[in-house]
Amino acid sequence: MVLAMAERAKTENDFNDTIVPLIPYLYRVALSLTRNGTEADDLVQDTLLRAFRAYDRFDGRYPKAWLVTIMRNANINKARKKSAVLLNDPDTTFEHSMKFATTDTTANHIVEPVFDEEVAAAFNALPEPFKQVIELVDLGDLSYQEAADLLEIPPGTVMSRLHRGRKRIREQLTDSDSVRPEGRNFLRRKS
Amino acid sequence: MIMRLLRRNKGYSCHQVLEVMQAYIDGEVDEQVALNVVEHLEMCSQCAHEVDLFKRIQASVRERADEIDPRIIERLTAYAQELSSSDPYLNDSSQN
Repeated sequence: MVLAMAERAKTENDFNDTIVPLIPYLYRVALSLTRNGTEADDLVQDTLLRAFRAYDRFDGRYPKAWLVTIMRNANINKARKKSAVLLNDPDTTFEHSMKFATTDTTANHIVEPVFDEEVAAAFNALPEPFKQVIELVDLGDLSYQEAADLLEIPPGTVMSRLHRGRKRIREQLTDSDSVRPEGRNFLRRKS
Repeated sequence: MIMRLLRRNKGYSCHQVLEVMQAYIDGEVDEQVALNVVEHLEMCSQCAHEVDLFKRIQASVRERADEIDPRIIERLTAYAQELSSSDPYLNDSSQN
């Protein structure tokens, strides 16, 4: 009995020490996957619950990769349940709770351009598949392979979308005054 | 395929560096390719500028990530802590 309680306390402490600090990371990945703040919230909760239930089988290595795998499975289950509704509901389109989603791209160009604002505007203008992989790799810190597994697409597609997305952002900067003159048109000339 | 070809070539051209630049920035190339890129960047200010610019873009995107509403994280943290102090097999209502 005492041993069981001690084990229980250890699991609780380990979970809090290992998993809880990764919640911001989990939320970012969930947001990239769902494109919706409420759904991301639900997905993180579902992932945390599944993670806690499976925690005694976790070997303690690569907690991010372990959590992302759990999230991927949780997301697949959710997607299956909701697919019929989503297909017919025009109101379930993109709702992004991160601030770049609400950046006023018009206003950014009225005043003197700021690098970060221009990057945000260019990022917002990207097609969704490009945004998604950039978020997973740059914000979620996932490897190309991990992002590919999560999205169920080949790693080459992750790489291609990521590269094309970043080049589009960079080209937007090329058209502005945010880069040094000698850097302008470099990509266009050489690619 | 591209990576395999580039791995064999020493003394990268600008075009070759551009082919692997994103993977290099993400740490997705092997040591030999990384060394070839570094060697080129030491000699080519234009490519070095591009790498620097892409790193700045990446940093800028990451910086925006910090703008997630802290209340969301606080709420999820409270949920996780509550979860870990309850019986995971009895607390099914927490899924809803």
